[in-house]
Amino acid sequence: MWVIVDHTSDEVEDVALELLGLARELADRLGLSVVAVLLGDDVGGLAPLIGQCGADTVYLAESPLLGAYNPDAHTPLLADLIRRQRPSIVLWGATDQGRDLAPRVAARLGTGLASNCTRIDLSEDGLLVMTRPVYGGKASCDVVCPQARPQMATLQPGAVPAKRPDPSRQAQVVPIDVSLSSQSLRLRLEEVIKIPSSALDVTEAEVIVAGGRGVGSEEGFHLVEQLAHLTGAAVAASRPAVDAGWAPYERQVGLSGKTVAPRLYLACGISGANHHVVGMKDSRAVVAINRDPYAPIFQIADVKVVGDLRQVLPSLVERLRRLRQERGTAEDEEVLRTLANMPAARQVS
Amino acid sequence: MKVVVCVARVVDTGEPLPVGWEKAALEGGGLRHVLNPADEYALEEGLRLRDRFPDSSVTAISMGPPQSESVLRRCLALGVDEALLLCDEAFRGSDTLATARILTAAIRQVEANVVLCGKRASDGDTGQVGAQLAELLDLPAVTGVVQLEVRDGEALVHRRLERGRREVLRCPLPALFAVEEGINRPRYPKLRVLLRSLRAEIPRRGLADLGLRADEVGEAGSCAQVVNLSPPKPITKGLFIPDSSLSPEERWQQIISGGMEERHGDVIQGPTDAVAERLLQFLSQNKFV
Repeated sequence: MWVIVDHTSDEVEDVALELLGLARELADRLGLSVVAVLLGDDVGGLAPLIGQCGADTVYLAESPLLGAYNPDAHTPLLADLIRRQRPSIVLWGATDQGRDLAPRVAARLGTGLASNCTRIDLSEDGLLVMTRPVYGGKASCDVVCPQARPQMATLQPGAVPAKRPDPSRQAQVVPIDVSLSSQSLRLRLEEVIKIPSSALDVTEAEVIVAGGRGVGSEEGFHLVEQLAHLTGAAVAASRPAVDAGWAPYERQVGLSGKTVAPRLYLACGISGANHHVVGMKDSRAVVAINRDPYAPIFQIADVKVVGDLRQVLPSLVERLRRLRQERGTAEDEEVLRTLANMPAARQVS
Repeated sequence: MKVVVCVARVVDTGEPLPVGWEKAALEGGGLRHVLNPADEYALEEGLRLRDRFPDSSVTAISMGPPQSESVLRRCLALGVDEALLLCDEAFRGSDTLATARILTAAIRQVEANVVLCGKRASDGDTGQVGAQLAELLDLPAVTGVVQLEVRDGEALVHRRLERGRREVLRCPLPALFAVEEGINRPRYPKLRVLLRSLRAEIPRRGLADLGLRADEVGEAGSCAQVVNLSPPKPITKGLFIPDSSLSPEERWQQIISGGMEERHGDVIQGPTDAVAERLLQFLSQNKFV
């Protein structure tokens, strides 16, 4: 059983660790070994952690050409490796890379693939049963691949809990020859742009600062934007704020806007009408600032600030600014640099 | 320049579905179908290419049952030059790879410079066909496209990555692009073109026209099989039982509110400076700043 490990330059993606735990469990039931495949440039340092998380063997393919994901490099390499070694199951994380790479490899091998699975289990006769949402989440279906091998699936991040690494486990590292020429790469990576969080789509943001009717005015909303800038958050708004023209529609969260689930949702002057709450109730932490101690938003808030925005926000912004000055201006320079790329970013979001 | 856009007819998941619709979905009947919403963005991107390069043409191709004509008519109404329906009893039950094989055969006959696909079909929701098509056509391809610019026989493409990052890629043509939803604002049909589209003849291609074998397509040529389709498991909520140590009044209140789970957060109030300081503490303790 293989797990294709997705990673950044110095960290294994969480979903890969989740997959390794799952693969370990399934492999034990089937009597298979777990092989992790690690492709990249100078990524051998990640192998010990992968071993601790459940892999018996790590296939390590290193080349400068594998530094950034390039389908023209990754696809033939993996397809050849799978053709030679004939694993019975190959699992991927449904990441940017997995979603592009897995179907390509499946096409080259002529095998089946179930993408974005939320559950992967075994049937009585040892087939992989891959459960995935369909019809916009209104149903889920079970997919099997009875004949062709390998059976392949991509797993949604966060669908299964990751197992705690076991420091006593160790994987055998097997280097893989990489014979690629840069001529075979048709796509050329020019650059990677980081979009400043304030311009980031609210559905992609990890921290969101949102303003509602209680913000009171356009100037009041500028305070919300400043707070967002200082906390590296994306700006969101409830419907009254959008209707008032303080924020564009694409920033609207709620029933008639977008649904978000960030790590932190900071609601300023939002009363917490149901129409808004359905769009943000799955946020990990909710901080609400409101004048009305009985505002419904407080029912779902982890930190409930009862106070006047027009006093609390400037005071908080001032403190954050001071904190930032103490820590130096390096971050600000970065923000300015990324702001230079704003036009493109605006168009995208 | 020849642009091909792959479109699909999907179950309209935007409206409430009738009870027992899962069975109907597997059998393919009784539900409302529409042009796949994600494909509208691919179509619009194709039409914009034609706006920029007036000597180009846009062809919409769809694989599906005879009823798929309706979505191709929609494409014609939106302004594509040609529509082509790939329709054969043998295609029924195709998985993503078999679908990609059928589309590949058709696109080869057209000799496209640019092939455009939507991100995913809103019913099957696999998002695989674009990438598989690219492999079978042996074209350079970018998925997750949020910006597309074509000039001098090559394309400059922005690919969406997680955490707000974008890759800028240079890609030679011919090539395939799977575009993200929201890359553009799809246009509305013009009345004149819409009326013309209602009468248009939509050519069809079958198994033999495409030079395919019956065992490479349809159920016979598919590896992945759907064995079960069911409504998602409801998120079970524990039965609410009020705490018997509370006063009757409080118990009633809890029952009336449905025992809604409140987040038992700290209440912060008082002088502004103290409040701001506490908030800052919370933010820094949880590493948000």
